[in-house]
Amino acid sequence: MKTMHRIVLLCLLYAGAVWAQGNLEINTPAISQLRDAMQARHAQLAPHYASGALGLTADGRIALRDANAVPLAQRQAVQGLVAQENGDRDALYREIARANGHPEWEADIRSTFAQRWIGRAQSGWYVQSGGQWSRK
Amino acid sequence: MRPLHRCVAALILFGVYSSPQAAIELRFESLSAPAVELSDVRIAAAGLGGGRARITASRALVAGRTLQHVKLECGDFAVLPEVHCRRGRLSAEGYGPWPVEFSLRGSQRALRADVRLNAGVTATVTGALAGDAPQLRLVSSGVPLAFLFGELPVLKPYGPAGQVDVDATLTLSGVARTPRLRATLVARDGRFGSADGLRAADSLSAVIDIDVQRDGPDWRGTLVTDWRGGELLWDSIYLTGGGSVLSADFRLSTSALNLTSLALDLAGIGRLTGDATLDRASATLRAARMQGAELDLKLLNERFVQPLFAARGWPAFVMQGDADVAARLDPAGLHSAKLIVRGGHVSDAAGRYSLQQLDADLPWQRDGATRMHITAGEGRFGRVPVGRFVLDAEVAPDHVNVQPVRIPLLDAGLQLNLLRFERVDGRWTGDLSADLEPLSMPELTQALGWPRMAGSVGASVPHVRWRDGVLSLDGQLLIQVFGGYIAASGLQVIEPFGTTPRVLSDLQMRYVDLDALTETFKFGRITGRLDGDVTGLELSRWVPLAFDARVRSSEGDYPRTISQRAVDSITALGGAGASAAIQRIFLGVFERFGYRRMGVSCRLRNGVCEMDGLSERNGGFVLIEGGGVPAISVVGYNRRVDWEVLLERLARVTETKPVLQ
Repeated sequence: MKTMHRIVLLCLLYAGAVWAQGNLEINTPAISQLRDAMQARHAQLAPHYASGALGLTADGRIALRDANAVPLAQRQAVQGLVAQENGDRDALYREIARANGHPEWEADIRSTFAQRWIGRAQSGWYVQSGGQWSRK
Repeated sequence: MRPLHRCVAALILFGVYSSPQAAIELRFESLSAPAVELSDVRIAAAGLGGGRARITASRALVAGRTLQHVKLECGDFAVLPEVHCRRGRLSAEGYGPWPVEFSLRGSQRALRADVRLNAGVTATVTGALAGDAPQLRLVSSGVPLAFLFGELPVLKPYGPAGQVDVDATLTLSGVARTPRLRATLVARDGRFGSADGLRAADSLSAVIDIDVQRDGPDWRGTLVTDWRGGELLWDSIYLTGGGSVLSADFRLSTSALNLTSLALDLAGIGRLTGDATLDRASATLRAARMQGAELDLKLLNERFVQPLFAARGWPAFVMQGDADVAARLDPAGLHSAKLIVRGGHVSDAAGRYSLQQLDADLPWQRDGATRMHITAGEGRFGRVPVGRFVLDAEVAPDHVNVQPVRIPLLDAGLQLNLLRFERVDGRWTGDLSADLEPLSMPELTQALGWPRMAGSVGASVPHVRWRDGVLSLDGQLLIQVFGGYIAASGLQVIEPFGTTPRVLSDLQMRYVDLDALTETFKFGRITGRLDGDVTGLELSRWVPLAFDARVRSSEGDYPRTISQRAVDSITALGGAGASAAIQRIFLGVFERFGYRRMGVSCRLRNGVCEMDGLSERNGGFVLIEGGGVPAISVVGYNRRVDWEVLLERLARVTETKPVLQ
């Protein structure tokens, strides 16, 4: 695990991301496909981050924190988007761990990503800390 | 206020209680009338024939609903010659004040009261309080929903809003003067929403008919709710348009609400019937039973099943047919359920599989195991047709155990020896063992739309494990094909149902009959045998991303010839740099040539195949080493070939689509 902590890793942006430069392997085709899928989905998610409907959780996922901010007819679809995004995020953390030959790193990779997603969230987006939501 | 029963009053007349303006003061410990009970009632009036008056009650119980600190102030109140209150104001804690006027006339005590609930809403109450058949009728338009239902514990968290037109009649019948209320409520622009917004409605319109009467200490009656339109979201279920009717008989006691003869007509789907008991104090379900017959599976799936799947990111599927359903619920949730499917059709939205003529008996219990029974008439996996099979499985909350079954595939069958899923520490694991009986390749390739291949294919899958999103093969998967075999080892399928399904495997190919292979793919004829090894094969979304492959002619004594067309095909694969370098003079003269060895390797990385051959020659690599007379050698010079380009060339020379695509 120390190895991983020594690694300079994971500079993530949202759409149009610049991904990690460092010793951690994040350029495998599977990871690229996940990144592409997430970037394609981001255009649909972004308005809901801005409205406060969606927030970034402390475990590297996203959550529907206030469905009232979404028109009633769209709430079902947004729930589906959240489920797909979380599926891809979970797969991403697993893939990065696997691609580096250390499946046991998954939890730490998730935690690192969670901090980066939250750190790079735009002003006005909701982020979770200690179980509480706050607005950046 | 007549008839007044149990009027246990401390009657104090003529100003015993101090009130400077009141000529009359009355105090009653309690007053009761049908559906109304008042406690600690005080009346202070200027006189019997007119003047100001104030009537208060510390508590009022109206149709089962408690109001505190009820107060009526009349600008002009009289008892004689008729009871009336003009320029009145009625209020209670949390309600009003509302302008009110009322009068009571004649021996029938004919009542007319107008209560102005807000600027646009007036409730008019008319009726007779005395006589053989006392009755009251309340008519009002546009009553705020919040006023009627906002304080009900079960609805309060949802903040109901909207308007209701009310037409309600209260009658007293029989010697016991049993009260009965019949009401029609027409709700318009109804809205509600939970705090998290996942249970909400907008623009709801509905007609509610209720008929309720007192039965001892309880109330019993019938309720019909006809949903006419609007939007409704309940967790992942989103419904629009209305067309559904809920009806029930009910009994409301001090502790519970019992619903019997419950019927829910779901538009286009069918009818659910059942009964339920809810606890009044906690507003929670004590028990419920529900069943439905011949429900339309297609709409049931689209409206109720698919949304639940989509909200979990699971793949959608299409269903048709009829279904019977039954379920039992208790305070802990779903206790048991049963689904019976007749003449069903199931296919996944992506068209990967379908099962038709499906009959299924699927019971489920929360606390035990049940046996499920499924008969499938026909179907297909991908393009491969599947014959009739019968599946029996033991299903419990912590395991699913499918009995061994043979699933007919074309002229053979897939024998499932073991298929078992278990939940361990909250995670599901699976184990599978299967044998594919030898399957006719001509039939299989025709079904798949591939070039026709001869022979048969069989496979043995000793043990596949499903753990944490990864399918792993223990041992080897052996496929017999083209007179030889292909063995897969270290086979893993990662996230097969995820965004990026990946396959990892090593392959070993031995003694494959080149004659059959090349004839199949119209490559030009080659006789001989072929061995191959592929290591580090990685497919993502079923497209190869990386491998190290090496294919070569097998050791041993067998005829080795290659046709002129095959030579052309191989040189075309090598691109402009490749050439049949030796004895070119014979090309065009002979139809067939001899060879001693052939071999090629490809190391695929980042979409580029780095090629090599048997040996180096003149800066190139030897693909075919000549032998016999006439002999031919083929040398390639282009070591780096784009994988997509290679596939295109292969497609051209074989006049077919490459299988790997």
